[in-house]
Amino acid sequence: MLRPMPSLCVQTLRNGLYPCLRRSTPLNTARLQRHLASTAKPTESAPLSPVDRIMQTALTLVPEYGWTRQAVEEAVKRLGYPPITHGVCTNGPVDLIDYFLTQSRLRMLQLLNVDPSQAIAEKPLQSLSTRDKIYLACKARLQLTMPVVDRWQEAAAILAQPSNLPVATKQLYALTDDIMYYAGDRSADMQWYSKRAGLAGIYTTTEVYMTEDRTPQHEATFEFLNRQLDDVESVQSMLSSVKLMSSFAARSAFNVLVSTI
Amino acid sequence: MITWINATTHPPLGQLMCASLAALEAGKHFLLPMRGQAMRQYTMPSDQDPPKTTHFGFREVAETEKERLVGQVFSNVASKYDIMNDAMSAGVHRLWKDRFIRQLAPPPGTKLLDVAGGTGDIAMRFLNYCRNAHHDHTAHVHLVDINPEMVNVGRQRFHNTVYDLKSQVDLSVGNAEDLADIPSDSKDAYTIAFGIRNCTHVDRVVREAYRVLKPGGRFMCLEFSRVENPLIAPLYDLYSFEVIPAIGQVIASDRESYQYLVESIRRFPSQDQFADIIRGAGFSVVGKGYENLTFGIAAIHSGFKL
Repeated sequence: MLRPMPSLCVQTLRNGLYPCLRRSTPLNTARLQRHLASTAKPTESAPLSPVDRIMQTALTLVPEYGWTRQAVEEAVKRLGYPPITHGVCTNGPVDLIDYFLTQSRLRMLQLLNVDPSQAIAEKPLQSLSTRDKIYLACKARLQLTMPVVDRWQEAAAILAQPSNLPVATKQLYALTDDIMYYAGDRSADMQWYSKRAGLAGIYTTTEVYMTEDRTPQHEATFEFLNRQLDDVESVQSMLSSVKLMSSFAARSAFNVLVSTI
Repeated sequence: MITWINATTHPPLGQLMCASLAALEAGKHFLLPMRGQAMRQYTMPSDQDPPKTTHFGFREVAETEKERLVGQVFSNVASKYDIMNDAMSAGVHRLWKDRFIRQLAPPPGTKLLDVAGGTGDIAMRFLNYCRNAHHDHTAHVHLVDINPEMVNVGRQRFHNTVYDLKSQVDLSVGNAEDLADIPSDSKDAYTIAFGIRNCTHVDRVVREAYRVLKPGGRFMCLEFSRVENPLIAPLYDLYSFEVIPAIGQVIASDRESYQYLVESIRRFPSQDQFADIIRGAGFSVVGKGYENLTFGIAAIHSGFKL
């Protein structure tokens, strides 16, 4: 994937940042649902490596044990290895979260029928607007968090710790970049950054919303995502969502500190 | 065939000057040489040397000789080994070893084989970790070293601790390349810290580790490695070749052994090459398979028998 170098283009800043995010036609939800359903079939190809098997078993145990070393130890035990094998998850909880985020991102691309190494050539989705593609991608990704949604606040708190900042930013960047690229964004100017930052804000706030959402199938979350995408028409709202995201991170970190004292 | 300077007869300063003068004559830039370049040109043997020889520091010796020569080095320094480690690394080797054991994070009841365990630094930390983290008194460590003097120092050390020499610790003399006394698939973890560099066949050592480990067992190696940082590397080379042999002379009255030490570090495979050897023996590695410590002066390599 080509990463365009930004050129400082004052013009684009003046023109407003998010023309592409405006909804062009009414959103055809039924069609999106059909598309998600048709591509949701798992397409397992190569057999899993033993390390992947351990990590994926550990992920299935996260609802029970949380993002902990115990989850990995239990997975190792269930697969018949001695307890020392837990070391495959070298740095403990944050490695498990890192693995989950990477796997979910790749699975999202798979669901959207996109090969990360290839350029986008999506025939059936070509008619969708950029904004709808972003919605579709975010929805596909959020659905992958559902199995561990009750434990997601713990993961967010772990990611908010300063020592884990590299993992958190790397993952958030990779996710937003993939979504923007999938949605057809080929900008090579300051917007390249601002769009990704804006999307990162929207995505993380929606994820936070999801952890508190008790509606069936998390309907309210997707409504929230819809509203968020509609709202992003100015720098102000983008900035406010970034602010919300960082204040959440700060609050989580503070709560973790308080809980350890 | 490249002429090399006999490291035992030439003091390193003279060696460096010979090499650098020669480099100047040859019209090469000397102000900012690549790491070890000047020295390497005159002391590193080429790949075309006849087979069945191996390196002993920068010297080429017959394969059959190396074991005896290494044995000599460690017999000479056994009594001063621990204090020399502190002097040379300013205590940092303790942090490396602590990190090494924290990365291993042995669960209760772990059976560890500590090869080239020498004076018991790793074995002691392992038992301390098990006791402090899990209140575990069932963990067991089998310490193997090729050198009887080093094993004796280790045994003395365990006598002064809370650990029971009968139920938690075994000490024996043995060769890392052929652990005939250790049954296959019998150990949870295998550690070798600052030892594999001195073995004649690194690949045989790793294969032997693979054999003795249970399925799922973990191989971990702490070893000096390559410093690739262009700012740190020249300083590190200067320190290695000028300061360490001098410390060896003052504290252990043995310059040659420590000259060998720094030379053998330069001959050991780089991080990635060694990770390939570990993979080649059948181990699964996670990510790159290693972690650099202090700019790569040392590195922790890890592999799983999966």
